[in-house]
Amino acid sequence: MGSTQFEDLPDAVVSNIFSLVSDVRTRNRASLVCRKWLLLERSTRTRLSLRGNVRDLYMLPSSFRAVTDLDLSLLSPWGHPLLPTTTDHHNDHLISLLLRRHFPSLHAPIRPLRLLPPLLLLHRLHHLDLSCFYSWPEDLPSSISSLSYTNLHLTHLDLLSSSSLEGFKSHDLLTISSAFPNLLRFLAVCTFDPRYIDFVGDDALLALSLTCPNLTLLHLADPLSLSASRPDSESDAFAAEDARITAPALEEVFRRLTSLEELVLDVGQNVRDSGHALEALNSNCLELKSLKLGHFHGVCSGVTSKLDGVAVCKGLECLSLRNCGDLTDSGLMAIALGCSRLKEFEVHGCKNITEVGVRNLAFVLSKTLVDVKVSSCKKLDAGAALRALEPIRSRVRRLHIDCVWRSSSSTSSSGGIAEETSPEQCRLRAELPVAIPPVVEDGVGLQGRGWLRPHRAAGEMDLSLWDRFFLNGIGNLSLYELDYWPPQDRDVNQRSLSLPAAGLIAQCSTLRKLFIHGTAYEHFLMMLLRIPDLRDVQLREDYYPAPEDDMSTEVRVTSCSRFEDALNRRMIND
Amino acid sequence: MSTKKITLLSSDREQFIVDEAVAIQSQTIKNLIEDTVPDEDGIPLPVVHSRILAKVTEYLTKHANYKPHNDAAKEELKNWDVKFLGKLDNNTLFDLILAANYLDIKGLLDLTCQAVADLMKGMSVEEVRKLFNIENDFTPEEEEAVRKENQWAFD
Repeated sequence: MGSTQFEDLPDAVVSNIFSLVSDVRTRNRASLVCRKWLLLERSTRTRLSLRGNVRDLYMLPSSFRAVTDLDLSLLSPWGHPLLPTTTDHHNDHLISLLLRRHFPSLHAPIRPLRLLPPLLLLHRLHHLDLSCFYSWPEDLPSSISSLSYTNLHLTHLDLLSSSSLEGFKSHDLLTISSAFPNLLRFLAVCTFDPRYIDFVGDDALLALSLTCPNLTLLHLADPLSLSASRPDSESDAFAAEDARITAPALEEVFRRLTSLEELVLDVGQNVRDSGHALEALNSNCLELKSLKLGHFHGVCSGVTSKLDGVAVCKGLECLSLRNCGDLTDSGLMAIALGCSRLKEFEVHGCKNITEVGVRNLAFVLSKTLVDVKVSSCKKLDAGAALRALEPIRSRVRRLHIDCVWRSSSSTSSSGGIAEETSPEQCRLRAELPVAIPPVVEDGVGLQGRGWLRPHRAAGEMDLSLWDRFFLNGIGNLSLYELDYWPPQDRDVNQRSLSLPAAGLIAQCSTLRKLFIHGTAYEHFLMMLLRIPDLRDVQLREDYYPAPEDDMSTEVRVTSCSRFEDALNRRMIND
Repeated sequence: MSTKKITLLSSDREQFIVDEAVAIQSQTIKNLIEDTVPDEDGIPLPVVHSRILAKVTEYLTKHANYKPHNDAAKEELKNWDVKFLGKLDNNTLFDLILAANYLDIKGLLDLTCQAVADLMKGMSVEEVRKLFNIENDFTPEEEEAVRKENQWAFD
């Protein structure tokens, strides 16, 4: 009996096998094996993230017929508008036509760049993710209101752009929500600050809950809370202003949105005495699994023996409390006892909690907790936070500690937890002057994917010296992908790749993808061509404070294109 | 309590005796039991060799007796599946896919197909051709064109 070969398998089975291959690189290789495999691969590829330059879009191959999910956010130049003018309707139709012709199966283009008008012409769109995209909040509602119909298909709308300093105003929210009444998942940046005209307050939330009653995920965040700026660790957790969001209004909102499974409200302004509203949330939204709150105060007092506030939400699996001004250790205890199914827990900027409170919580929840983040808590330094999490040492899978690092005895205990638990992802970040060792270790632990985001105190040392110090030895890490935030040069308000940084990164011989969150000069970029397998390099100007429109922008676009051409001319094997 | 036994007959006429509950996880066998008068030797499965049928019954027996109720049990079953696959060479794997497809056993088909998909991961084009015994029928120009197309995909 002859042994069975791959070619003996029936086509339906082989097709099934190909559809199980999700890794893009494997797919690319498979398409190069033989003609039959090429056909099979192309007919089962349903997701595609386009790379390349926008100006070449007309050369787009039409062989990806089966694509249903299209991601356009990685086209370069990154973060720039796809079309020169969004008002040109002729162009809109052209792009819409191009997309429809090349991707006939498309029903969910995700994360497009400035493609909104043409995308809205694709009537059957289900998902729209605009989160990685530069837009001004005023553009979107006007595009939407120019449509003459309400889109009943759209169920998922993501407008959580971190690039903009302004959020949507109250009437913008209304325009959007009334255009898409069937939304299930809605994420947006909103201006909650009552000092602005038309801020988002009680009325806007109530109206939203009326127009989109089916929401399962609601994520509204203030632009301040999304920016990467870190709060002054000495300042109070209470914001300067109170948001115009009251507990009774929230209760009413929760009564209407009974399907909620995930709720994120990061308002950036104080919401006081929210305990009762959260109890109402629990009694109305039975499916609630995930709750993230920012600047909500009075979430749980824990003073009486009866559980109160957020602690009554028994079903919660994920809880995040950011800048909760009056959360105490006894509040943490009540949460641990009440929310007994918590898998993920985050505290950020809670000034009153201590090592004892976090330790008790970790102990009570030691059977379920696998993902913990502790950051910017004044009474918890990095060592204390790690000691507090000892009860879940053997279980924890993701750990993010972002606290002040004191060089003394704490180092040994942290080494202990990192070694013994070997979490899948472990990020330790600390503040200078002892940041370097943990950050480099961090790269090792991540096995192939690195984030390097130095947090440098102002005027500490010369920038290029800093880069040399910080990146020294990065070539030994065998990184596959690197996200690098060059340190900010405060004199000219920009982040730019320096000569030593370019030289040291060019030593990472295994690197395939590099994202520089900042700008770079052409001659430094050209040094990166020495990396043999480098396939994608992107300059992302997505840092805060936003880059200013300096004179060199246009030069950068062309020099960046020249670099990309040089990069793409090289032979990459798959 | 006595359970009904079913006899399965492989292509080389070897008999496999299993519980009915085990056997009817295969939709094909279930249909055969319902629709046909059984052979006195058992239910004939003319395309499945005894070597493969042994593997299939091993898988079915494990999965029939094992109804995972909690995460730990699911985890154990998964580990068992991994071990089960680890012992197979590629040709047996393909045979097993054919058998799972013929016998209509969804769990086994998914498991084995995923195993083949995982095999491809991290291999160069040449290695894949060698492993699956496939000849390159592209002209150099065609191959270059496919490479150009692939350049559009971000990985």
